[in-house]
Amino acid sequence: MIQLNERKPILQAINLRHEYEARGQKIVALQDVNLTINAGDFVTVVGPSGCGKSTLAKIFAGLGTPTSGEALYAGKPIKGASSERGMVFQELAVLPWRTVVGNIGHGLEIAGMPKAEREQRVAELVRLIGLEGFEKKYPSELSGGMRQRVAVARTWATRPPVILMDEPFAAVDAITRLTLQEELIRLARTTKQTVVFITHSVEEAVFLGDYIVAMSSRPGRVLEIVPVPDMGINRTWEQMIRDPRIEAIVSRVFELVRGRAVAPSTERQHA
Amino acid sequence: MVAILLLALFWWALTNVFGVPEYIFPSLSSVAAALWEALLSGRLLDDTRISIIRLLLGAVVGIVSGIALGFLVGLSRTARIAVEPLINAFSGIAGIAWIPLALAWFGTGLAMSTFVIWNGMFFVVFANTILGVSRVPPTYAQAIFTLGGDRREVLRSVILPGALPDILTGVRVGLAFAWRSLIAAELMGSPMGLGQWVNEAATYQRTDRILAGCLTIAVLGVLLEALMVSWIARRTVVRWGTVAVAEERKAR
Amino acid sequence: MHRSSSLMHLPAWVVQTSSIFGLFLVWTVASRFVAEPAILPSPAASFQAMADLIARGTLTSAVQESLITLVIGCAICIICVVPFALSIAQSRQLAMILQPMVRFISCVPAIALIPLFIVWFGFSTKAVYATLFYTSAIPLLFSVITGVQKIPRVYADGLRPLGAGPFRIVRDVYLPGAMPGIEVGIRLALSYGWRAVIAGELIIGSSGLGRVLAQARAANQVDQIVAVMIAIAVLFLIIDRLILFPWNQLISSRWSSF
Ligand SMILES: Nc1ncnc2c1ncn2[C@@H]1O[C@H](COP(=O)(O)OP(=O)(O)OP(=O)(O)O)[C@@H](O)[C@H]1O
Ligand SMILES: [Mg+2]
Repeated sequence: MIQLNERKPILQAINLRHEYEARGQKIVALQDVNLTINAGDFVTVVGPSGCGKSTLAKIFAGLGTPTSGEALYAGKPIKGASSERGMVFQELAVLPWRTVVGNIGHGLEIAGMPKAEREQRVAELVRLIGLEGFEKKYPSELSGGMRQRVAVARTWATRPPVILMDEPFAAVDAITRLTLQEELIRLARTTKQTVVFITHSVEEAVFLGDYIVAMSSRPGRVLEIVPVPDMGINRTWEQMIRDPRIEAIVSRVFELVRGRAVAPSTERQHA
Repeated sequence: MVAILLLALFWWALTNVFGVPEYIFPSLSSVAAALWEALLSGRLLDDTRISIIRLLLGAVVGIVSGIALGFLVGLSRTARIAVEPLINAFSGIAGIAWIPLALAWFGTGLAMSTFVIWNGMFFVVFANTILGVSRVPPTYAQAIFTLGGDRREVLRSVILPGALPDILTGVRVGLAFAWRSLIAAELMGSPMGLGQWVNEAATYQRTDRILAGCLTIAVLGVLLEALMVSWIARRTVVRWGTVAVAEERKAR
Repeated sequence: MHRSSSLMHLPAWVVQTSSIFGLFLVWTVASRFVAEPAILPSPAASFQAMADLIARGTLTSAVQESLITLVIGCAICIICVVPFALSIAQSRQLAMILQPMVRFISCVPAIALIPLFIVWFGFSTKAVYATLFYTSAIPLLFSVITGVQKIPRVYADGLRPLGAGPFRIVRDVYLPGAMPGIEVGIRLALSYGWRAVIAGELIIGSSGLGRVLAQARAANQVDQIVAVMIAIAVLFLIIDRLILFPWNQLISSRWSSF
């Protein structure tokens, strides 16, 4: 693991552009994306559906190479996936053929952690996500929300310096989501990990983020980076909704995201 | 169970009430007698053993080669496209149509039966493995990469279990296919084996023995499948929920 | 996400044509290597044998015989089975009793029954028809019953108060409603049936492509064996394309039974 000083850039996007080719048509998913994320930041990325959030996360994870521009991790170009940048996928990507503990411990197993230590770490995480009693269950026997919590725990287990989370709570019920969000903040702050959290819920973005990256629809661009006042490690939703500053930020981000979403500029060229 | 009893009743009625003559459709009791006689003489057991050894040998070769090559091809999109017409072409020549060629190549020995069974199984297992491998959601593999896994790990913990439902379907269909091909090959001139048993019964016009043989073949076919596929399926894909229980029941 | 290799940009038909070409290349090289036409004839020799068989009229008449057997046999099968299946499917109980019975019978492979058919009908085309019927009837029966059972009950219940009798209900609800099931059943019947015809002819030796195959085998004419196999494959592909299986459905179903 690379030792990183705080406040040093850990993830950078420089003039990033990404195109998909589908049936002879080029779709520009990302264009002119410039972004610097410092070590220890909790960044939320918000934008309308299809604006390229997942694409950005996958590029940072090393699962895709940008068409042009550069993506850097700790100052070096990102080449391929690595355990230093964990990712929670929008699709439920826990393996159906592994039990809850099998999935959560998978990364540790790959890293070669001894069994006893692994089991202990996994048991801790199971408790943290409130899945005691479900250790030996298969994902098909869990609810969607429980499955997604397993996915979060699996990524968290190896303590990667960077965690990319692509709408991890989308399938979780509204009440559990509140608890998970509060837990997530505490966890990220204590471990000082860098979190890039993608969501299309503006409130969620404002609640969780140190700052918000607001994106526009196709082609995906960064519209503005909106800082959020620090509400402390033990913030709660009740406290947030009463704060007028927060309210102002929420409406500002809404404006940003919707302003562009109304008139999306589609860029399509025949290949 | 009720169905089997009803079927037996229907059979009994056919011969005993409607008076269908024995030499056309033997009665239940004479088939049972033929079975018992063959069992006592040891001939049926010998033939069964030989058929099963032939099947197992060919099936192992067919399954292993089908899965291994299916993986190699399934992992590459280009290779997948390339083999598609070949699979189509070979699927057009049913297993049984290969038997004359197999007889010409290998005579009537174990090599022939192994080839025929391999031929019956390989393409089904191969095609289904390719399908299974290509159907594993790519995010599963991506997730393992972000956990620090390499290609080997992805193959072991993602692709193999992910393709298993389709592989099992391939093995299931292939087994039925191979079992039929084997019986046909034995009918057409292998010494010994259940197919040959039925063939000999036919030369003496012993319909009771023919049916006794058919019943044995059917029961063994079901048993083989239960042992080789359903048993594995219950412990893997059904347990994981990657194949619906109803689907698994239907397949049986 | 997209690790593209230059190969991936080749159009599919180029890749597929070259793989078929590759198959012939391997075959040619292998036949040179074996250098024993009685074991592995070259592609050229096999196509020569095919041309000879066509010139003598053997192959063309055999193809005709096999196809006629397939079409007539399937037609008989459809005429007998579809009405039977439609009437059984009316009653859930009847279908529930009958289905496992048929399923049990279907465990007996048609191949094993061929000797019985020979005892009944002699070494004649009738025995081939019996093999075909036995093979095709079962998937047809199951498909139609499943098709009917998928029709929502309310369709029939809605017509009854309007004074519709059972005949009208079958005509207006069950027949059109079960059409997808009947269609799938007919496709399966044709594709299983083709294999049954070849297998039956091969073992019974009465007529058609199977008989030519059996004769070539008896004469140890491997080039002719291969020629007939190619003919069988090509005809199967034509039938297959004509009845237009979607690829996914095909992969598991086309291989079953024969
Ligand atoms: N594999 C692909 N092939 C072709 N186009 C793609 C592919 N993946 C994404 N796209 C296109 O790229 C654009 C951005 O997709 P992306 O998945 O990054 O959006 P997103 O912001 O994550 O959306 P959502 O909030 O719905 O998850 C979309 O227009 C989509 O249609
Ligand atoms: Mg997304």
